Order: sequence, then C-alpha cells, then structure tokens
Amino acid sequence: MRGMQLSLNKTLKLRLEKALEQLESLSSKSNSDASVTIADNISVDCEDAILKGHGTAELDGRVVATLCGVVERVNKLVYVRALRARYKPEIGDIIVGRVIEVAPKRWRLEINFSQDAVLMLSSMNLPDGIQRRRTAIDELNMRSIFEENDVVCAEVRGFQHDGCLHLQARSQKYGKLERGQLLTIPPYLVKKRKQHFHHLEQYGIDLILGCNGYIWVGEHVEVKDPMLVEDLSNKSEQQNADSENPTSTDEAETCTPLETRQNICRTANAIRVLSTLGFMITAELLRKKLNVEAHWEKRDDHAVILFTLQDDFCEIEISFHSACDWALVEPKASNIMYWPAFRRSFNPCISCSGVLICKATGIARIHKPENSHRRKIYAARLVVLKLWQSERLGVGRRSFVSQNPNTYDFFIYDFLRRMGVNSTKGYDFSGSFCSWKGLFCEAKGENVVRLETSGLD
Amino acid sequence: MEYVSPEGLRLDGRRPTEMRQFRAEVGVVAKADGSASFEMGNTKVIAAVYGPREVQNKGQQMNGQALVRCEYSMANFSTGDRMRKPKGDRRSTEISLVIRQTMEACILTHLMPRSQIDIFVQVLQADGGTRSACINAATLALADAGIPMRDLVTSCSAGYLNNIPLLDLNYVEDSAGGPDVTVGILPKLDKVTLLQMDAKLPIDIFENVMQLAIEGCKAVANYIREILLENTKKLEFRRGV
Repeated sequence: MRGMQLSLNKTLKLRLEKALEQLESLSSKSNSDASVTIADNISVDCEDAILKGHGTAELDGRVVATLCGVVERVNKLVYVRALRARYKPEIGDIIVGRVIEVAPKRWRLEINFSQDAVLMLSSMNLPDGIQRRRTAIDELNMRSIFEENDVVCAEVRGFQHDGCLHLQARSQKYGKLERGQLLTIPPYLVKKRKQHFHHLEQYGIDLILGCNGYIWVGEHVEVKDPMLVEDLSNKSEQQNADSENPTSTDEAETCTPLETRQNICRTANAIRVLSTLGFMITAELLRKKLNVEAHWEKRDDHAVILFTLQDDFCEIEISFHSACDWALVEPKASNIMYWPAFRRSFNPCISCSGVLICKATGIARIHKPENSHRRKIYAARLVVLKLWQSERLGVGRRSFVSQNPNTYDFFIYDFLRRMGVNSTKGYDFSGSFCSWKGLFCEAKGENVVRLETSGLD
Repeated sequence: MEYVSPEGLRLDGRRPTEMRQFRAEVGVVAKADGSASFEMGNTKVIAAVYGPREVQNKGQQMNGQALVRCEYSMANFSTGDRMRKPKGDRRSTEISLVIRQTMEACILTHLMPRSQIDIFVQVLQADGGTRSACINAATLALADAGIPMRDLVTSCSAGYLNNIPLLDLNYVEDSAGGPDVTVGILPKLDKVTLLQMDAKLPIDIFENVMQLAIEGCKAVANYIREILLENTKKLEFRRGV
C-alpha cells in the first residue's frame, strides 16, 4: 500500500509495473537466494571459521537470521543487512536531526535512532568561530544557537561509555538548517558516500542526504570562512552604528525568491516519489530527474518540453494525462512525428532528442542520455514559435473531438499546411506521400523517416 | 445446536480441520516504522509498530533491554452490534497483556537497550480469533520494522464442539460456549509461547485440540514467511545496487 500513495493514471501505472518487472528480472538473476526472513537458515561453508555479525544468531549449531534482509559476507564475517529498519549510527556519518530538548551543556536531537542523540556544547563550533573554553554565559545563550524544533546537521562522533550517542558539529558546514524542507525516508535508501552535501547550482538549492534518512532540501547557503565572517560582522557593526534602520536590508535578504521555493518543492516531491517507490536516493539521480522537469514551460494550453540534457540521451518517454492535439519532435529539423488527436492517451517512445510540443499537460521522463544538439534545438525552437503563430493566426484550432484520418498523408499534409507551405509550388500532394518533395520514407514506404523543408527557419 | 453437519461440514462450509483463508499485507501504515494487516476469513486486524525509540516515561527505562508496550483496541464498527466501549476495558487490557508477553518472548530486547517498542493493534472486523490474528499481524509488523527476533510467533485457535475438534473458530462457533484453545508457537524453535483456554476439557481431548491448533500455527507461519520473503525481495531489487 506504500505505493498506493502516488496518484498515477492508468498508463503511468502500467508503465511503472512493467519497469518494476524488468528491474526484478534483472536483479533476480544476480542474487536470488541472498534474501532471508526471520529464523531462516544461513548456509555457511566452513562452519568452524565464521564470525556472526548483526542480524544472526546460533540455533542448534546452525546460523539463523534474526532479521528480514539480505545476507552479506565479508571474508569470515556473515551478517544480515536489514532493509526497513531504524538508523544504525556509524562514526563519521553525516546526519540531520531535530532538536527536541535543550539540556544543561547539551542539546538532545531526534535522529531516527533507537535513542536520542546528544550534541554537547563543547563539541561544536560557536558562531563566532573562535576556539575557546565554554563559559557559563555560553551555556545560558545556548538557545540563541539552537532552539527546540530546529533542524540541525551534524556528524556522528561516537558512543560514550554510558551508551549515549554523541554528535559533533566542528565545521562551518554543520549547524542550523533554515529555509527549506525536511523529508523523512527509510535510511536504507541513502547510500554512504564521500559527499553528502550537494549544491544543485542551476536551482540554487542545497541538498543534504543525511545517513539517518532525514533529507534536507533548502535554499543554498554559502559556507562562510570564519575569518571573512568576522570581517563582515565587524563591518556590519560599523554599518549598524552608521545607519539607523538596518532591518530593511536584512528582510530583503531573508526572503527566499519564488523560483527557489518552487525548486525546493520540486526536489522534495521528486524525493518523496522516489522513496515511496523504494528507489535509492542519490544526488545524480535527482539532478537528472529535475533536468527534465525543469524545462516544462506552460503557455496557453500548450506544454513545451525542451530536451537540453548536458550529456546525452536517446530515449524519451512521454505520457499525457489528457488528449494531445498534436506533437512535434524536431531533433535535427528532420524527424517529424505526428500524433493523432483522437488517441486519448498514448505513450510514444521516440528515439531522438529535441523539442516536443503538445497541447496537453503531462509528464516527460528521460531515460538514457545522448548528445545534445544545442544549435539544432534553437532552430527547432524557431519552428515551434512559427507553429504557434500559425495556430494563433487562426488556421483554426482542431478541436479535441475531431476525428481526423489517422494517416501519414493527412498528418504531413496538415503539418505543411500549418507551416504555411500549403501552396502548390513545389509540393504535389497527390499520389503516395513518399513521392512528395522533401519526404524520405523507409524502404517499405510505410513510415516517414525524414522531412526536409526549405524556408521554415 | 448442530455445529458440524452429518456430512462433516461446519456452519460456514469448512471441514473441521480446515482454516479460513488468510491474507496478509506488509507496510499499510506510512508513518509507522513497521506495519501489517492480517485477515483470517472475516476477521481483519491492522498492526503498527513504532520504535525502537527513546523511552517516553523515563521511569520505565531499562538499562539492559528494550521496553515493549502493546495496545489492543477494537474499532466500534468491528462487531455486529455497534457498541461504544470504553478504552481500557478488562477484555482489551487482558489481550494487550497477552500480546505484549507473547511478542516480548521473541524480540531480542537485549540488543536495543534503553529504548521502547510500541505495538498498536486494532481490530477492524471481528469474527472470532481476534487475538490470534492480532499476534500474527504484530509479528509481521515487527519483522517489517526490522526488529531482531528469535523466531516468528504465530498463533491460531482451536475448539471442541459436538465432540469434534475444530480448527480456527469463527464468531458463531466461538460464542457457542465450548472450549476455545488459543495457541501461540515459535515454529522454528518448536516452542509454545501462548496457551489460553477458559473451559474444562479432558486431557486426552485437550491434547488433540492443541495439536490441531499447532498445525494451524505452522500453516500460518509458512504463509507469513512467504509474505516476508516476497516483501524483502521487493525492497531489495527496487533499491538496486
């Protein structure tokens, strides 16, 4: 039922099911017998020389699992890697947590572990960036650093001898997180990497993938050098002394632009969807996912998708919620695809890059990357604009219900007509469409593979 | 009243040693650490597990092991006559205790010191055998929450009516007033963790009835194992490498 929280239409559901089946078939080949449930036997080769790790127990001389998960073997060590479980801290993990209590000399943080973690005042850098003894005044001012319900990013320092989990925040990159969203996902979906702080430059947002399954998506904050901060604060103090009301400038700074907010929400939603489906969350994946979504432009009732991935892509999947009046794909100003109006829902797979316009709202997903044709896309864009104009100028919009013939002849004729080349000069629309000027068909003469027209740019 | 017809069929058409159909689903509550729903015929329960988490009442914190708590409740609409029962009536307090003790016996509590595990079970439809169904649902939910356990606990009930041992009593058979034996076992370790009966029964017949209930438990265990394995595989392949 976890998957049911996504509102998908019928086609998307089918698509998802198919993709998951494929994924399953791929994985079942690689390791089919590694999954165990509670009290399953774990087969071990050499019984005398193994180390039993987490999630295992011994029963009548045999090793059994005490968790549902995947058996992992590292040399002599045999352990069960649990999938859905609470976070198990390891020293050096970067985590995101929420302050639940301000106690003497420490903050208590909720970090999705079986106990609350402790962040000592002495194990964090004070905002002034100076290493010094923490005085009683610092202790009184603890609420000015973190308050209850603040979201904080820190690093796991280790377990103390009394079993408490201690955290530390000894760098400028750790500390309070503001202006963003905190998401909770199962911790097994976050892989431990070298890099857990990500800055998605093109959206101006920061992404912190906490190892404990807490993910922070927020406005980008420049990590300041402590020395610079000092300078700035000195300056600002002087300014404060100079000017009477410095608050107005502060407020302008504290306002997050609308676009950034949209990007934050979009990223957060992407993470929500992916984690609900049980996919691992990495920054690269999100970058790719956002790349597609970011190029949705909505004008009138048209949706324009510009495919401008940096690297490359070759397969585009497009699915629409409502009927598509027409759509055009223009990779090298040559490949035309026309989709009939009366197919209410469809998912064509196009093996090309380019521009797609359609009179619908929907979702586009890009799978494999391929070359981008920067210049060509601009050219294609021009074509698109022209098409719009011809549409606006009142060739007459095709209504959604019109039942136009679903043939290449018709669509190409219609396309050319819309492009303003319906005059007979050079174009003979009689006979098989393969014989028309500028059209190139495949050998069988059934499908158009290329269209070359002059005077369209 | 005749509970088994001369042809050997019970009121709902089952044979004496036949169980109702069961159906289980893992992951039905989004916010819980682990959750499951379990159906046995018309009996339907839902279980949610939270934790291991910080102990809410510091006085109850144990340094060597985890604290297990359980709350059983019946939805007002779960029975035929809609009754507004006060929360914490005797029956539900007793069943909460039974479930808590049964689950505590199989959870490896010493691995999660100074923490607390909350199990909430709610009966959505009651048609006899709610406590067995609750235990089965709780097992699934604990396994989904990734809590280490010695073994799965499964439970099933059996009764004795018209001089015939009957497996998995439904509401009508349950309210006939005959003996109702609820058994909970650890199938792999082959140990009994729960045995309840509120009637008198000759010892030789009792053994037959209990044996029947144990067979039922083993059938449930096989099913639960399948569900968990399927769920684990699904999570694993979706995660990828």
